[in-house]
Amino acid sequence: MAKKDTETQETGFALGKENYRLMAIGFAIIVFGFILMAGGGSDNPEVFNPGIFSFRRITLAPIILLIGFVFEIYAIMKKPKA
Amino acid sequence: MNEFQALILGLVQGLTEFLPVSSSGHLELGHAILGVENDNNLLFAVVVHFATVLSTIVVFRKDIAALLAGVFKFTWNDQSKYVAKLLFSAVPVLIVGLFFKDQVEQLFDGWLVFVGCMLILTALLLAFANFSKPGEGQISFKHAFIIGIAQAIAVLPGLSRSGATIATGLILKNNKSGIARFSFLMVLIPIIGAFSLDILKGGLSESEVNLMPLLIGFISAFISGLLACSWMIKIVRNGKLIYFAIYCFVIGLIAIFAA
Repeated sequence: MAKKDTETQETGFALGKENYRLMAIGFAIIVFGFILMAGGGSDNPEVFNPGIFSFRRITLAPIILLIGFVFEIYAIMKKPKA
Repeated sequence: MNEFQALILGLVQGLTEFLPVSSSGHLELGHAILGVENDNNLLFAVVVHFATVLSTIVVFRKDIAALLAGVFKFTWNDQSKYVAKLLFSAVPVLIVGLFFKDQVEQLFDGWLVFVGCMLILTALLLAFANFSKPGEGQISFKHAFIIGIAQAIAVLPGLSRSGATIATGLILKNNKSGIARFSFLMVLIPIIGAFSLDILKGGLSESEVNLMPLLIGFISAFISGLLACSWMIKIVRNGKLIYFAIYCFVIGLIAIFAA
């Protein structure tokens, strides 16, 4: 048991409840970013879909994604309350 | 790419990012075996790479917190020196990323013979590291830079980044646990930097995005990465790299003959 505790401490695997909650929020932000980035394709290759270069896909979605990923790092690093 | 292919490729990325068997080489092989087209690979690659970055942060979060705490004391303490070594080790890969990106990307185009040759080179490197006498040295700035050069060369598909850096560290007679930790932490800076640039430049939005394969790839890479990272630390500590050398050699031969 003592060995197991040492290994857990060395690898620092276990996260607190709050970390998981924050990670779920970060994950939801990432999903939202992907939803904003979705689409842009065209059914007919001869027809250009200007939506592929829309503000939503090119600017807003990447920023939301980046926020989501940074939030994930914060969620992992945040010290659980004792 | 469908959901099943994303699940398999995510698992492959998570496992092979940490095990010394070349994640890029295995992803290329996975694409070839599963018949995945290259239409959306950049976004998928970025997403699964970030998932493995998160795995690394989870496993090393106490070390990272201690390093950041030391750095923000704004004194030249052990933590600041360690972070400076990590930054120093990123210089070679930064040079490759800035000046040789196009040439390297051309190699990521289903060139299986090259991938096979690099896997065999990884096998030789691991075998050499396995049989070299273990040392107890600490990573110096000079060693950090040499290990950084190994990391920069390992951008070639089929050459394992963790294998190359850990083997180089062991050949330089560094302590086993220390080199495993350094190898996994050193990759965070270039990956997060490249990832942020890719997102902000908008290059990820240039192709059609399918949500489900990306999410499935992200989750499978994250979970398999967590397991593989913890496993790899123990493998390096116990000096069992020879099994991976044999594996890389066999897969390398298969890739060459399959091509």
